[in-house]
Amino acid sequence: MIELSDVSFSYPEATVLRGVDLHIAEGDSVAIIGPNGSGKSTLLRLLCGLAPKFSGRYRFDGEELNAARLADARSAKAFHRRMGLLFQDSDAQLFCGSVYDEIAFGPRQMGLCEAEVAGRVGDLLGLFGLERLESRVPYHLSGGEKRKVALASVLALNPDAICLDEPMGGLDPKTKHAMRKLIKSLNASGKTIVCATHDFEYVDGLFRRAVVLSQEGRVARDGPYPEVLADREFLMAMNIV
Amino acid sequence: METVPEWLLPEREPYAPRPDKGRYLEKNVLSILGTLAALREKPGAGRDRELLRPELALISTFLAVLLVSLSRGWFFLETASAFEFGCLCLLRGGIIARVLKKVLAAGVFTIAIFAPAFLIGRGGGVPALCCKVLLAVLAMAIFSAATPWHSITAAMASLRIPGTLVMILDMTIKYISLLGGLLLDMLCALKLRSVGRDDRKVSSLGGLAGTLFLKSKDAAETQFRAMECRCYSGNYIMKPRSSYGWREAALAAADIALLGAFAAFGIAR
Amino acid sequence: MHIPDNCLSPATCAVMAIAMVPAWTVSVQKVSKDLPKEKVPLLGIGAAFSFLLMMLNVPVPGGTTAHAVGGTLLAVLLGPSAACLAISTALLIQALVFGDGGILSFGANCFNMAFVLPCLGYFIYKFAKDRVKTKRGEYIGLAIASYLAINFAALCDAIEFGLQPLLARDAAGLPLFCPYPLAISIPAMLIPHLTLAGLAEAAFTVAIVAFVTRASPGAIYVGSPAKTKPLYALIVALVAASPLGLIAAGSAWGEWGPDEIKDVVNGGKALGFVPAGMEKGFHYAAPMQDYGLKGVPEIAGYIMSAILGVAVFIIVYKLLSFLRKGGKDDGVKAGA
Repeated sequence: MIELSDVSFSYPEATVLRGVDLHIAEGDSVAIIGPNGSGKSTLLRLLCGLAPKFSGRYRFDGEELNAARLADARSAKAFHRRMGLLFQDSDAQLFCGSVYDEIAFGPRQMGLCEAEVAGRVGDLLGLFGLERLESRVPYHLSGGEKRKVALASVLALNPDAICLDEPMGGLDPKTKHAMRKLIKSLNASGKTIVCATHDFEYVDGLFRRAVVLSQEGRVARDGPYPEVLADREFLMAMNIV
Repeated sequence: METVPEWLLPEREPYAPRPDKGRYLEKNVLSILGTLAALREKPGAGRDRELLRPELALISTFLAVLLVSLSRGWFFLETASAFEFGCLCLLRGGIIARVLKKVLAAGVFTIAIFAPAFLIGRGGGVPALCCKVLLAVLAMAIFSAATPWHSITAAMASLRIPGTLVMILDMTIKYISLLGGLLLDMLCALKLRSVGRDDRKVSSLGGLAGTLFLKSKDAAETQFRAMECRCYSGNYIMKPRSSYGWREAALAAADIALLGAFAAFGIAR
Repeated sequence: MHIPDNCLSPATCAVMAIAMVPAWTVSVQKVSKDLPKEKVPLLGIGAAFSFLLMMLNVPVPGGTTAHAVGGTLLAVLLGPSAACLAISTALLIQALVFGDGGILSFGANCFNMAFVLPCLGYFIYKFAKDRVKTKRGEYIGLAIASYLAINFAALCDAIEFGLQPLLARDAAGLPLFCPYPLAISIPAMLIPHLTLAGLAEAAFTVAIVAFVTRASPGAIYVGSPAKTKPLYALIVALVAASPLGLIAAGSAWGEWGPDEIKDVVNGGKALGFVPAGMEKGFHYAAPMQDYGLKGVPEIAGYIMSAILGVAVFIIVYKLLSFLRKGGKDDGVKAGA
């Protein structure tokens, strides 16, 4: 589904990703791990089309994805519908006047009738346990509630793949467990999951694969999650633990 | 484990986005990116680090803009051009390119605005006017491109501007960067979810800006509490800068020469 | 609406900067009184918010975009004094750090965008808000306030530009700075603001205030009820300034009388004749033709016309209010 071949990306002041090769099959679940500044968030943004000026090749579902394709509004929108991103800072993702409107934003854009929109919103409120917050303003919710609303608003588009940027960051243990169960359910239902994370304690058993980025932004290792995480020496050498 | 609703299972049919006019999100992203890039760029890095005392640079810039504005006749404008291009050529290639890009854009805009004056018979002064506008833009562009922003606020402090005002300026620039980063993320998040037609674009952008305002207010309160915790008493003390050197003397001499040229050629007689 | 350097004469720039000194002074005093502790961070962060707001492209009908200034918005959210200081700071940062906008014209830019725009917008909004009961009415008042305020600020811009050919000329009589007279600068500035920019400003302001009101109503500045005295002071000032039009020689474009039309030059040639429709058409001899009175100096005639016009308008408004309330008067309020 996702194929990166020799992809590099630079900001004006620094090169963040170098020669990244990454292949993710449909339905796979991959953890992206690395020290701070290794380019995890940048990689997720690139996968979601927010960093179009990269070098190398990116194929999504067999089709080339590049700056030209992302510059075409129709192609970009069709792609964004299939690839969702949960930002590290939930405040960046919430801008509507109520939780209902926040989750309904995407389906309304898609042109669904209000009954279908209400159906999707109702289902997601139930899935995340947010029913009592339906008319609340997202800005004033707690960190965990905001994270759930943000994820619900992304899922409302029914993406095929979801990139999660530190989904456990700032959450209490109970909410982390709930988030973990949710991610497992989504992957079990067929969604492709790509997740940048530091919270090894709470994501154990969630991912089939782990891709380790070095400080220089290269793929240092790509293998089965339990194997990679068991190699403490390697993780220490990478400044991850 | 929660049961995922049926519609959340992988779709088989392709999705055709509804057509929508306008690319305001892309324009906004580019605009904010440009601003953040301008703040992130460090003209003071390496050998260009504070070539000059910034307050002297600020005074020289203001003097150049003022004298150009007050001047009559072409000879002084040529002198001012020599002064400004002389300053420009001392900077790094990347900065020169940025400055010239700005001046070129200003030039095109200025000519477009003032050229129609010829049609109403008032075009006689337009060439000199365009030249003056470009020289003013060049002077300001050189100053802003070659002076790190923290030096600009330090320059204000050296010029005996009240510490509180300098702190406000410092804080403004820092929070342009911080809030700008948040705004950029919000615009990207909105773009990612704008997968069809948004019939309430202004409302969506209003929600973004409203959230930004609330974050600004919270940030202001938090900042104040942090200042209180560090015993803020109302004084904003900035570290004194290094002493004047030959570069400052050279610039001061050039300023005096420019004043002399203005007195000799720039005043209407 | 940003005025670059050298479009206004240094003298005009100096006058506008001096005119801003009392505005800044009063704003600082008011902010110190209203927000004694938090003012410093709020001003800095408010200025950053103002800066970012001015950068945003607001979508307008037709698929294009326009920039809003957000002056009325900031005045409503932070109060007019804090808004004045925040916008002034944002304009200073734009000029010094980003090289946008002028340094000599800083005073003029602040006058238009940091003083006129937020203060007028706030005052009109408060005037409306204190008199309507519904939220919808309040938002309509806000839209009108921000629309009128940005257009009035654009008008100030236009007047500053348009006076330059009269104020600064070289020995040959050519304008030294902006070459366009009022007859061109006013429509040139107002047309885009009456259409795209004004709509963007109004829509954006209402959208943001509506969001903040819903999300966090306590975050909005609460000022004292609007006094009407400043409004009357403004009307008096406008009446006194009404003879300004006399500076321009001749009639405004399109307002020529039969006695002037044949001398109007178009494409380098004078018209040379009076169109039959104008010569033989309907003529109404108004009591104060051309805002003047026989035997009275022009300036006095203009001021008299302005006083009469304002008085007639107030009388009509009060009569309509009286009739709308079923023939009942309100108690006379001080200053009303």
